Amino acid sequence: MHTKRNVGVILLAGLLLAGCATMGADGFAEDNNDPFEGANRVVFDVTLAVDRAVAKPVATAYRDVLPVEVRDMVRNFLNNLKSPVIFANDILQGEADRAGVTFVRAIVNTGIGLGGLFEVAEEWGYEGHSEDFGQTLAVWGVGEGPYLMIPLLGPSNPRDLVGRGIDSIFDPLSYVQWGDESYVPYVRAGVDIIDLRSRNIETLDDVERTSADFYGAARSLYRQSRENEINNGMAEIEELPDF
Amino acid sequence: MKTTYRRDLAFRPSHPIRRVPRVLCALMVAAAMMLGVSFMAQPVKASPETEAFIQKTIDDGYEILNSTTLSAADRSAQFRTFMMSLTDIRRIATFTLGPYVNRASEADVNDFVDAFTDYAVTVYEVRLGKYTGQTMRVVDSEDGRPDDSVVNAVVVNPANPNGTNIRAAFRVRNDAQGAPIITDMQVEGVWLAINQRADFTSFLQQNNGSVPALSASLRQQAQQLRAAN
Repeated sequence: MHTKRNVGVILLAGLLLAGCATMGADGFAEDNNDPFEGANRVVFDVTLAVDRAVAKPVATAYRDVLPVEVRDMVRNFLNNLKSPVIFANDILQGEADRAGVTFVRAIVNTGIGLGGLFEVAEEWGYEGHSEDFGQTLAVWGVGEGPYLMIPLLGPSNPRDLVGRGIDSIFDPLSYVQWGDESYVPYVRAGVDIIDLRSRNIETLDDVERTSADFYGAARSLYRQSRENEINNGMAEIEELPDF
Repeated sequence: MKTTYRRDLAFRPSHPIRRVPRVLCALMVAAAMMLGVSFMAQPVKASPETEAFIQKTIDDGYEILNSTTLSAADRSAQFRTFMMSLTDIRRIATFTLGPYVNRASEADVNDFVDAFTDYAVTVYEVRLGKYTGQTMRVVDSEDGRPDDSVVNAVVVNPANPNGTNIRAAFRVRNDAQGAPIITDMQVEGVWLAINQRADFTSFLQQNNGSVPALSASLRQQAQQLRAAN
C-alpha cells in the first residue's frame, strides 16, 4: 500500500513541479533549464557527501572483493529483471522491432542464460537497450520540465520523476513490495545502485577532476545522456549548436 | 542503452502469402508506402572522404598514444601538434565561453584560449590514453547542414572483441579554407564541447563572470592531470 501512495506522491509532485516551472530572468537559468539551481546545488552537495561517505566506499569494496565474472552476473541478472519495464515502454513508444528484441532477450537470457545470470542474447545479435516511461513521455511530446536534484537519487526532472513512478507499475517486483514486509525490491535497488556506482568510479572521478564546476558538468551530462537515450542513440545533428 | 535500431524502420511486412485479401492488400500497400517514406527519411551519409578523414585521424592519434619508442614528453608534444592540426581550437574555446565571450576583454579571451588549449589537449591525451591497446573503428556517418557531418565510431578492444563497445562520434566541419576540422567529440551520447560550455558558463555564473578566474582554474586542472599521469 505504501508503494501505491509513494507513486501517487511522486506523480503529484512531478506534475506540480512541471506546472510551476519558470525560467530565470537572466537567460542562464533558461540555458541550463535550472530555475531551482540554488536548492539543487544544496541537494547536490548533500548527495555528494553521502556518496563519498557511503556509496563510493561500498562500491569500491564490492569491486575489490568480487571477481569481474560475478559482478557481470549480478549486472546481467539486474538488467534482465528490467525486461518487463523495457518491453512495456517499447510497446508504448510503438517500437515493435525493439519490443521484439526485448522479448527475445528476456526469453533467451532467462532460459539459456540461467535466470538472466549470463548475457547470451547479445552474443546472438540481440543487443540490449534501455527504455523507461520518462523516455516514453518524451516520445509522446511531453517536455522535461525544470532540472531537479532529488535527494540521494540524483539528477532528474518532473517528466523522469513521473516516469519512475509509472515504471514501478510495469515492474512485477513492485507488486512483491506491496505484500507484507518484503525486502526484495529494496535489496534489488541497493545492489543496483552499488553495482552501477562500481562501474563508474573512475568516470565520475574523471568528470570531477576535469570540471570547473562539477555541478554544472553533472547537470549537462545528465541532460545530454537522457536526450541521447530518448533518441535511441542517434545523433540529432540538426539540433546541435552551430559553431 | 546502445542500439542500432531506428524508429522509422519499425514497421516491416513479414511473410509472403499466396492469396491476399483486399484489406491485407491495402495494409501491405500502406506498409510499403510507409517504408518508402522511411527510406526517404533516412539520414544522408557523410562523404566517404569525411569518414576516411576520421578513420585516418583515429589511426594517427592512436599511433602516437600507443608508441613505445617515444618518451612521455615527446608523446605529449606530438599529440599536441597532432590535435592542433585537426581542430580550430579558438573556435571551440570561444564556444565554451557562451555569452560571456562578448562580455570579456580581448586580452582575457586570448588568455582563456591559451589556457583552454593546454587543458583540452591534456584532457584528451589522458582520456584517450586510457584506451591504449584498443582501437576505434568508423561505423557510419550523417550529414546535417552544409559543412556539418557527424561520423560515428566504436572503441574496439582486441582482447574482448565481442564485448560491449564504447560509442564515440566526431563532428566534422570545414575551416576557413574549406579543409575538414573536428569541432566536437561525443562519447556515449555526451558531446564534450557542449558539456564544457555548460560546465564553464556554470563556473562563470558562480564567479561573477570572471574569465581570468576560469583560465586559472583550467591551468590548475591541466597541471594536476599531468602530475597524476
